[in-house]
Amino acid sequence: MGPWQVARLYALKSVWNATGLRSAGRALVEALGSTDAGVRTVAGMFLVQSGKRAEPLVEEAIHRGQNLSTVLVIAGDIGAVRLEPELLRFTKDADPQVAKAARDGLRILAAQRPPRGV
Amino acid sequence: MAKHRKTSRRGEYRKRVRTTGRPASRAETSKARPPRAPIPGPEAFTGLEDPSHVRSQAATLLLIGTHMRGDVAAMDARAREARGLMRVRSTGAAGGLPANDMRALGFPRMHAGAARFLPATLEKAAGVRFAARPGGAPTPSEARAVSSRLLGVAKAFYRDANPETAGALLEVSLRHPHELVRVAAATSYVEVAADPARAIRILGQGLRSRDRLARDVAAHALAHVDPRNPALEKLLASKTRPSRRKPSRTGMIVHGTWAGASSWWQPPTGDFWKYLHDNVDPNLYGAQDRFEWSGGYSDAARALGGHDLQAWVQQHTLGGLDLFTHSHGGSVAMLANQAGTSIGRLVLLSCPVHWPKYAPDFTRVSKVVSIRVHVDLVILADRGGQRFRDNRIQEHVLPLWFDHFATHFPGTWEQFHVRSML
Repeated sequence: MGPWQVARLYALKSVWNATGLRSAGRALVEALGSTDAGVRTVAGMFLVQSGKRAEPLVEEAIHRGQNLSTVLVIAGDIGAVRLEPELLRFTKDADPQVAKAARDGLRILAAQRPPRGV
Repeated sequence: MAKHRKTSRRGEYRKRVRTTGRPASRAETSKARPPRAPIPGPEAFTGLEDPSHVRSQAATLLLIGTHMRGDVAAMDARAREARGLMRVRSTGAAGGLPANDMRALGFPRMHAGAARFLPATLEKAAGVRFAARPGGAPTPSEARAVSSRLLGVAKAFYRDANPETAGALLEVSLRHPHELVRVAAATSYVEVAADPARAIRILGQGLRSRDRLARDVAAHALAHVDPRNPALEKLLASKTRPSRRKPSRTGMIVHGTWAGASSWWQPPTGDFWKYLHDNVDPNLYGAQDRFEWSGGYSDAARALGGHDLQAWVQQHTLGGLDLFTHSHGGSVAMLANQAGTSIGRLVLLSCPVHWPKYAPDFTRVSKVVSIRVHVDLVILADRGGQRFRDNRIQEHVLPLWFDHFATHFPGTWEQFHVRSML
């Protein structure tokens, strides 16, 4: 991964966060499937750093079955409680990596939930 | 009373017909296959040993509790909300419980209330008086009383399901010869009785049951009613026996963010694993149950990873092992270290610096070495620091730029003699 690739991802993140332009956000989701580990990692980081704003994109990716083994964990990282039923559904997926990602996502989600009574 | 005796004989007759000729022992029942279909309505209360009868009774008694607590109303509201929010088709669930299952069990429409009854009142409602408080297995006289009264109180409940008839059914069921039914009755009894002590006693005994289902139901119920019960604490104590092997000097790789599925760190063929095993640490852990964490990019994900790593090390009795970590795998290792895991050498490869959130516990680690490249782009994106400033951590910056992953390339280790830096 070269500096220009990071710059591109950073530009996508900035445009998406500033304008809400969905195609810019989608490009980050697509980058999760890059063959370059650096690109994958930075794209995932930017999505998680965007927090709840990434939830619709993550939901869309889940529905499309796009980069599931990463987006299911991201759903947990950003605390997307609304996507819990989707994650539950994927815990029984035939692909063990996807099923594990869904279980991990659910676990992370549960760990971020405030204790009862708070 | 005469009517009840008749009923009782009929019940006994049915019991004989439905069982295989001799009453099933508790242990046998626990191993029995789950019944294919529940026995609906008061009919369920005609047998005292047959697994289908026993489980149908237990389910009915537990449902009484869910109605009394208001769980059903809450589940119903949640189901309505979910239908509204998610626009999913109704599954025909009544009260949040599958309508078909409720129908199959013949559970009556129940009027819940906040009434609480004294045991004597419930015994009176059941038309029976017991000499002693309920405990473990019923005495012969209690068993006779249960046999003669159970169907009667069940019928009364199905005729008019209210807290009093439910309470009477539960009161009699507390002396049921089958432990699962006693435990189920005790679970719901706390919702109708003025004093839960007798139910807690039965639940406490249920924890020691040989029947796994009875044990599980008792544990769940007791956790709600009496969470500090000493019997529960015993159950919660870890049963994992620590290995008697001597702690061995070994090493392990901890991967970083999103890298769980990557091949480079996986034994026995991952290129970095193979390189370390062949050139640096022949004891590098390579069994199938090697440690792995979610690789999630959040504090919560790393905290879970740290917790799991600590548990893994304890379970394998590998305290003092060397850890070769990449990226936030180092953060996970430091969290495990802070939580009490002893580490030999902690090797941090391209680890983002988030001090003091992720810092080693220097009293529990022999040596910390950090190896990185110049201006790591992934660490920039992570907003982490590029260098540790604590002089107890040996920093080595390789003459490479930008590449976050170069620190786990075997070629890099060879070219820059990284082994000599450890």
